Amino acid sequence: MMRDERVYRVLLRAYPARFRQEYEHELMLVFREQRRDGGTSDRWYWTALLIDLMCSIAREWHEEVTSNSPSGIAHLRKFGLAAVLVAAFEVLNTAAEVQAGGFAGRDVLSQAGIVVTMLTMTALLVSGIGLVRGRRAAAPSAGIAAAGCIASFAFIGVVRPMLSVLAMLAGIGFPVALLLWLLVNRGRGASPAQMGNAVQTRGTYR
Amino acid sequence: MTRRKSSPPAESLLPLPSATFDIILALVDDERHGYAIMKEVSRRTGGATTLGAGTLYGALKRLVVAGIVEETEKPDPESGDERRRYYRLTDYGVAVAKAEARRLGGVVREAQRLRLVGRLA
Repeated sequence: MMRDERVYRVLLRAYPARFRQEYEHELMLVFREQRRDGGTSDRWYWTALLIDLMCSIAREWHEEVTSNSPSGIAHLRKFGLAAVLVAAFEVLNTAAEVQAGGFAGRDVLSQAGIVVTMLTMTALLVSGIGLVRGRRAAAPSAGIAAAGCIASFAFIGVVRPMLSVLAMLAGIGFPVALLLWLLVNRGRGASPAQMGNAVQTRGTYR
Repeated sequence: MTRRKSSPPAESLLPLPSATFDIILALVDDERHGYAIMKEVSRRTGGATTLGAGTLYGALKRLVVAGIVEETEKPDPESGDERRRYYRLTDYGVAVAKAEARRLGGVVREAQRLRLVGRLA
């Protein structure tokens, strides 16, 4: 196997496993034929190839994650599990903070921060359980809960910084990741009409 | 007509993206494997459209799922009889292609009426 072929095969590993199993052989055949026809010696070929790979890999992963396939549901459940763990950690951490420093003796802003944090994290916990159970209907409430978590932790971080760095990172970082994932995957389940759009402008145009 | 019970009316898939229609057109007169489709699309568009392999197979996968294209596996004489996948339009796929061609014909007629283009040969 020639070096460029090995490089291409390594790049193909970025596709989801199902797509790779289905089409890796065909993709390699096309690559060999393009090389046979002298197309791969052109440096623009590799530029076009990389653009095509980036676009198609992103699309296949998007489809993989958002489809109602077992793997799509598995991704949903993984995010749900992570949401449950992060929310449980934050609820316990905030409860420990209240236990150590008391609640009644704090000023109004601190009390408000604690209450809002507990509420948003409980909401994240509940919606996370829904995601773990494979319920796509839980996604909107998970998004709202994630947005609430970001707001409440940002509020605490700015107004009354009392939580640990780890708690702040987890309390803002994970909800941001969850929100991004939900935003990217909001149009899930490929209908035939979406099938059409799915391949729009995916060709490389010279 | 080979149309699955779940297939929606051909018109409901319109308008097809140009890359999708290019692939369908490449399969109208013959079954082809992936690389042959890429070459046919390039030839048919005068080199204006170059489909990448990843894009092509992703699109073919979706076209197969939609029942527009079906695939078979057989030896390819040009690559030492190595087995590879060939793709061909189903009857439903032909109906979708005709519907899209009619739609595009209407678009061209409207452009002509507005004098944006002259009469086509």
